Amino acid sequence: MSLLSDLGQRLRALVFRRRLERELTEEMAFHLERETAARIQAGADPDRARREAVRAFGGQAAWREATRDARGTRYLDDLGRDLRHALRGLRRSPGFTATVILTLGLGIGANTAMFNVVDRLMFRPLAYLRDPGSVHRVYWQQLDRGAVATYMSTPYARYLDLERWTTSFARMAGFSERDLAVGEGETARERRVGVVSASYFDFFDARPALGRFFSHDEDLPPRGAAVAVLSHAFWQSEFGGRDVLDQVLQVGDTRARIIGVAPRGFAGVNDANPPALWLPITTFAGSPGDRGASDARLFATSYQSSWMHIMVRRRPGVSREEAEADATQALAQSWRAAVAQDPRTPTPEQADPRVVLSSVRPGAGPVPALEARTATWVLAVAAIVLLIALANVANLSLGRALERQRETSLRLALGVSRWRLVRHALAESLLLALLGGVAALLVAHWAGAAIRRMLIATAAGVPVWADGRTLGVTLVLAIVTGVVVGVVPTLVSGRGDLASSLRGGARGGVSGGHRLRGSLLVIQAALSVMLLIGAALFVRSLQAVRALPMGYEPERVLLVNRILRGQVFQDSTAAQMRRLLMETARGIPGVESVAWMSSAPFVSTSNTDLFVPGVDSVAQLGTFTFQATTPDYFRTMGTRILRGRGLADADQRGAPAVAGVSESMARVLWPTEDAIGRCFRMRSDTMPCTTVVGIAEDMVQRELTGTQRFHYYVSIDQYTRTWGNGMLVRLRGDPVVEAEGVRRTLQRVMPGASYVTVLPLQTIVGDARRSWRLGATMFTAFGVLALVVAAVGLYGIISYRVTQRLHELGVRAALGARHTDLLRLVVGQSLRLAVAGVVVGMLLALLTSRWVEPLLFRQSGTDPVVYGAVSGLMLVVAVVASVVPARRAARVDPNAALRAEGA
Amino acid sequence: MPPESSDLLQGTLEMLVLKALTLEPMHGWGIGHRIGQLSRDALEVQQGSLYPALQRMLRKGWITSEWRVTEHNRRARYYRLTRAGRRQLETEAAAWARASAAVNVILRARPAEG
Repeated sequence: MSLLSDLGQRLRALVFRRRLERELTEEMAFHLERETAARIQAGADPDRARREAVRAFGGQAAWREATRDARGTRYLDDLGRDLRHALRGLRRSPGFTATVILTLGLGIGANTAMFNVVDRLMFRPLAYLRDPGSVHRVYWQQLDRGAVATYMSTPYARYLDLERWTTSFARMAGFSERDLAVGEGETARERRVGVVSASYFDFFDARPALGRFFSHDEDLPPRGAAVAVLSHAFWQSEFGGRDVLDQVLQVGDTRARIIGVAPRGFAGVNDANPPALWLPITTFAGSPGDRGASDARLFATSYQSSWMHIMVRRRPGVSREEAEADATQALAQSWRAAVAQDPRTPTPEQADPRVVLSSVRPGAGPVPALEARTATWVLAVAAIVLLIALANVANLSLGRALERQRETSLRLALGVSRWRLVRHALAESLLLALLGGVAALLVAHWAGAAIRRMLIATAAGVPVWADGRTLGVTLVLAIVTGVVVGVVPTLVSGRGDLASSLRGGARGGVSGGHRLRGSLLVIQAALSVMLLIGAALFVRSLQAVRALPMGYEPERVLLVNRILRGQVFQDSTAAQMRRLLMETARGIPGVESVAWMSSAPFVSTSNTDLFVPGVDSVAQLGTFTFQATTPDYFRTMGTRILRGRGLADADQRGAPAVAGVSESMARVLWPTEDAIGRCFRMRSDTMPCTTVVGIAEDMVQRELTGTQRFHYYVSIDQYTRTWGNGMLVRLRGDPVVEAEGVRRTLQRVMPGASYVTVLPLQTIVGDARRSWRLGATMFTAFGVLALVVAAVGLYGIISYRVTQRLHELGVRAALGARHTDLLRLVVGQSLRLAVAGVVVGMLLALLTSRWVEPLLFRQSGTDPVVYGAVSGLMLVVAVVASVVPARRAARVDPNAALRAEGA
Repeated sequence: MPPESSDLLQGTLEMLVLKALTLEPMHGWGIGHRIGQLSRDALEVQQGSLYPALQRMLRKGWITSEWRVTEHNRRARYYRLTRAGRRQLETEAAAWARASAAVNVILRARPAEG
């Protein structure tokens, strides 16, 4: 029989229940009538006939049950009844219900929100991606000074090499992203642009909403065609969904012709920050841009700059290991080609380069970004909070079950099956859990938006409850919660001697239940302590990061960047432009000083080969980066010059080459003598020696937590081989306020279509500190949440115990115990639980400190100050939570307590 | 006094109901009566188990029902065989024949001599 019609029957039986019941009654009446008539015909008298007919029919109730049973709705009927009963029971104890729903809402909601984030960062398959199981991102591994380093970027030449020399891949695609100026004149705006190979779109089952995607011959080196594919969102917002095919759009340096529009929701590989449009990768790479024309022509053969990523699809039947091995041998060949081009490159034997094929999402690959790692940690924390919430709710449930001990025993004595009781308890807890699940979705919606903004750049995206996977997880959590919370208390309270519990009321409570509640509480306290210790460690980390001396004062500095858009400068015109910009900037009122820079802190670094007389290999000592800059650099940055002098106006082209060095650099290169007066050669052994004229304090240029601060400073008039130049402007006032004014003034002197962007340096520095801020915020929020939940639990159980022991306390009071004695009794109980929790919590924290330490900054994972402070806090909270019940105990009236039987 | 009735297994009852309905649609009481008739009163259907069986068979789609007016102008629920029900009857009848033949063989078997 078809399952569908069976189901249909069952549903119909459910919906039209009353009518069916009536029909049943009618049918039975008819039957009895006919049976009676038959018997009368056979000779019996009417009354007797009727009686016998009824008897022959059998028990009516049982028949009704059986028929209903046969209809197949029995279980649903019973469930409906159980749920209604449960609802009534919950309405009668609003305090319990509200507490449980709130606790579950917070616990499950936190997990839902974090799951959403982790899912987006690590697991969710990309939209439209065909057969995700066979698609990988290529990661590169090599030995770097003895340790294995993993990267994602590679030169374009390597992409071609891999295509040429591997056989395991059905398809390969190269891609990258840039922020480019899109549009012209007033409407020009920086937008995220994806630069992708023509094969990129073949990975997806996406059909263009308009036009087409790139064809293979539009994406060939040395320079691809000037065409663009728009994203759906960009097409709608900028062009209103009109027909835009063959229109021209200025993208960076390229005047691109629009040839197609991607379908709705297509974002390619980076769906956290979807691009506005795509260009062929060779078009972007082959355009002069800011790099200078010579580089653009070489991008397809040079191994110098690693800037793009590769995605591959394995051929069917090829395993990942086989594909990796194939790619690794191709990589070795590619390395040998690179060594042939530049003999200074380490050989494949030295560097042992390998290919690793892993998840397309970097968050789940071998080098997850900070956000992914933090999100995973926070998910673990959220899971712990859920455990605490569960323990709390189980505790409350258990308390309630113990209160109803007598009623339960009575029902068992009357013959209700244990299974029925469990079913009732399950119905109640499932109902609670589902309500908690709804509350959780609300919590996840509000909190989730905030969390997503912190961890995934764009807050855009589907709201939590419209997201199928997240909903599914919430549902599962709610059901599991319901089962666990419902089953445990009933099993515990159903044990024990029926007779004594019927007789003894509250005094005869099952002691096993108490011990379980106590241990649940200790678990809660322990987990809260662990989370609070984590929170405190992160907060102290953050403080250490903030207190770190930067070596400069970024608060009032603006970073000015030039976007050239096709304007090509020769060395001479570049210098003119630079001087013009600096003069204009100096002329702005409120500007204290101006300096040029070749690389901005945390954004980029410039380095070249360094040769120091007396030192065999400078590269072995570390990474040395330089700034090509102007005389006012140190003053603009706010860096102190420790000895000697900074760069001066006299250090022009033609004058002797001079440089300033950082203190660490001076110490490492010339440990036994004064660095001033020493010299070194830049770029090659044959260059003239640059003399050190000054030593500046160490600056934080690359990473906050790095220990290397090897920087040197040369005059840009003397050393011009730099790119990505920009300007630093120190203001007397607030950079956020004055930024726009500065930008407009400078924009007026920019030639052609080029323009400037202005950014307060503080923003970049703040971004660099983000990870610690993130950890501190998340852990503190969850730690406090955990503490609140545990405190509520502690209050609940102490209060209950006091109520239970009212009789005993009354006896004590009658026997002469004073108020303070009773107070001490109750608070002591609370403290004992708390101490147990603190001890276990500290042990747990010690055990897991090993994993937390890498995320901290100059903070030990086992800092005794932190441990001590958190323990103290927990004990104080325990005392506070027990104050109200303790006062109730102290004020107990011996007479009333002795007389009362107890709840 | 009706003759000794034997307990009917659930599956057997359903088979008999199907057979009873092959002639014409009938209401619940009539089905029980007819089975008794057809078996020459050897079988008496336990009325309490008839209606649950009818419900099950309704759910499985072997019969359908509709309310009609009887010759005595009373409203009654009539059950009718469906095509699926007819097929089921054939299947079950064949199975029953095989099963009862096998049981008969076992019952007739005599212990080996010596």
